[in-house]
Amino acid sequence: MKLKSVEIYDFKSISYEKLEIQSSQLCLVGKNESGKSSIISAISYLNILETELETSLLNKGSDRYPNGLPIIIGTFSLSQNVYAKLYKLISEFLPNENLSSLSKQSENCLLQLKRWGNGISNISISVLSSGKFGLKLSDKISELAKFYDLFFQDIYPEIEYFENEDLLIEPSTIEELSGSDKKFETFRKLLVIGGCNDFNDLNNSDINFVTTYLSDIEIKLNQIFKKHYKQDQSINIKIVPALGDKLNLIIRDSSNKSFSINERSPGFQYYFSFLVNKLYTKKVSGNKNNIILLDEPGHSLHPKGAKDLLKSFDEISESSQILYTTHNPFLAVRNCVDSLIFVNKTAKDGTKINKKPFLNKYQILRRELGIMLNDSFLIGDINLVVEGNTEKLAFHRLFQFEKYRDLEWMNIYNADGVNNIPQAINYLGKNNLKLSGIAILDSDSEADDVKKVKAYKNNIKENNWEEVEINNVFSDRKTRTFEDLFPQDLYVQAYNNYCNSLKALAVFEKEFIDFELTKEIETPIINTLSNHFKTFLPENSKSSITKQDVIRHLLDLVDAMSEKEQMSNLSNAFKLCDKIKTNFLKIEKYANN
Amino acid sequence: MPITKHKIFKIKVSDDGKFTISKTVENTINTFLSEANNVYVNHSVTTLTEDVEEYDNLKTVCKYVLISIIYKDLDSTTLSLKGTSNKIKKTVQREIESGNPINEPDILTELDKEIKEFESKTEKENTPASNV
Repeated sequence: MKLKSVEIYDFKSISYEKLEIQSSQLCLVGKNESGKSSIISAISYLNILETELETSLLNKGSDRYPNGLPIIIGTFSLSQNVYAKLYKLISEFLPNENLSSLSKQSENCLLQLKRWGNGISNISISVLSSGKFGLKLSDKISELAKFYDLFFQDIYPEIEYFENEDLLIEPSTIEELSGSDKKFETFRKLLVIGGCNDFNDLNNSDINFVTTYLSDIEIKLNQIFKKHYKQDQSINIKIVPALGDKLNLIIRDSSNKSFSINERSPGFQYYFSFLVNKLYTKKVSGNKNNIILLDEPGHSLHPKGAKDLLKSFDEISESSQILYTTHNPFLAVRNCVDSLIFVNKTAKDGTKINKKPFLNKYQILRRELGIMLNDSFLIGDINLVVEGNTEKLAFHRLFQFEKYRDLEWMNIYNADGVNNIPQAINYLGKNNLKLSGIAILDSDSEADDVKKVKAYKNNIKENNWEEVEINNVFSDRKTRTFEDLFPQDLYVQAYNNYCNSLKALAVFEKEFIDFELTKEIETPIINTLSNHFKTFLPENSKSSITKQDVIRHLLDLVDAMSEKEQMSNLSNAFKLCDKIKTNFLKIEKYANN
Repeated sequence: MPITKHKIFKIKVSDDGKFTISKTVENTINTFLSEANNVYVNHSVTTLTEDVEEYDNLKTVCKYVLISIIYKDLDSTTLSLKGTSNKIKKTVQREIESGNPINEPDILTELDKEIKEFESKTEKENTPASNV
């Protein structure tokens, strides 16, 4: 069961907002007080049994202020298996005449949960399979309490919300562990991961039993953490009784010194605790989808720690959904650009999500994170200088493939147009920042002109600069642009998908008709498609194809393919990445100097 | 909807006038309150007295203590908690304690609109055509 969208009414600074969730990992970026945390917090109230709405959460501009409660509506998509499970459950509670209106199987069913108060009388759930069936279940079910009990246990995702301090590990007594104070939750989880299911076992008067029991837990924990904590393989965990019967967590690392968890850096504490929570969730929830909500995770992490945390997020997003807010450029920029949501607040409308996907997301990101273009700390030692956002987005996603993971940490520098490449290389190269890089150029006349520019020639000839052009992966010298790296049928399919997605934006004057590929098109393919695109535009329109969106559609299509299909469709793109990798390894030694 | 009811526990007071709630009564009240489908709302305590003539004087003697517990009975309602987990019990009990349910807000999402269409279509199909 995956969360597809959330509608929020009258929650703190949000008057109304709808958040569409397109991927398993979503990062909310915005200035302080913009309302990012409010969005994350509002979503946490979709956890019905463990949260309680209060009047203090109500938006002050609401008609129902000060006595009302906010309203949160979540829409989830159900896989075929989950729907089958739900159908089985509701068949026990729904009268036959209602049950017969539902199908026994469904591949694209949506479930909506609406919450406007506390308890189970102030929520409703409905199911809809568009064009096939739809029913408001909560109106028809006979034994609501029993139904919701099983529904929340077996079908509904676990929704966990963590603020920074919630995660940290605190030394605690066995009594505190047995209680319900959230402060000790991570310690509880740590012991459960180690195999301790009843904390009273630690209270046994037989000292031999307790010490060997703790030792067994330690062995298990060390095995688990060695597997998951890649930063330092020499890490060793010990749980020791401290003063006042408190249990404390001691960590010994490569320096061979022992430190209590509280003596470690905030970054380490956060990362370690996050890992504990992640492993715990995996252990208890099995195959059920989870939604993890994090408010400013790891704000004290070193970029390398942030990178590890992001990897952790990637792993989580394979089986669960993770939504977080951040100000940390290393937690945002390294992510897939599609996962970024920009939040801002105005006096009139309150918190709003920027819903203009056609805008240059990197420019907004820089603005929202307050990063100036000349902040050189965001420029890597080795830079991949590309002509535009299309290439930037594509390389970001291509470097997610395991064999190119080494390249992932390379900064992709968008020169914003081929004509700016000489200027960019001059800025990054020997005369200014003295950094290394690889320039990626199309194989067309514009790129040929660029190669003649003095600033380009002078820098590219240096040992720590390399040039790769599209035709390096082809055996002939036809004119080609980046788009020609992909099979034409796939690019045309992505182009058609992109154009169809524009229908709602009223870009076209005439009804869009898909481009049909009957024979191979002369390269660059983008020229032919641009002409096709123009035939649907109003006469004086200056719109053109947003190539980065076509690439995004193309890579989405590739994502849904089998590994074998991916290999064949991306063979040229991979060849180009191989060239980049060879050059990267060649100039790496200069960068390290 | 749960019905508001009250239950009376009657305790006989011993002749010496000492007021001790016996273990049995305490247990009965505890068992009653721990029953998931009884959600406590309020209680009252009353004494039943009798005037006895003693040495030409009337002496008031306490005979019984009545404990009346007002509660919401969830039995045979849609919120019946028999056989449910602790989590849902806590949620429902808190909900009952906090008062009446709030009316569903008048918000129709895209999904709601489509469902309404389906429901009205099903209703039409199920309504027999009137005889003309």
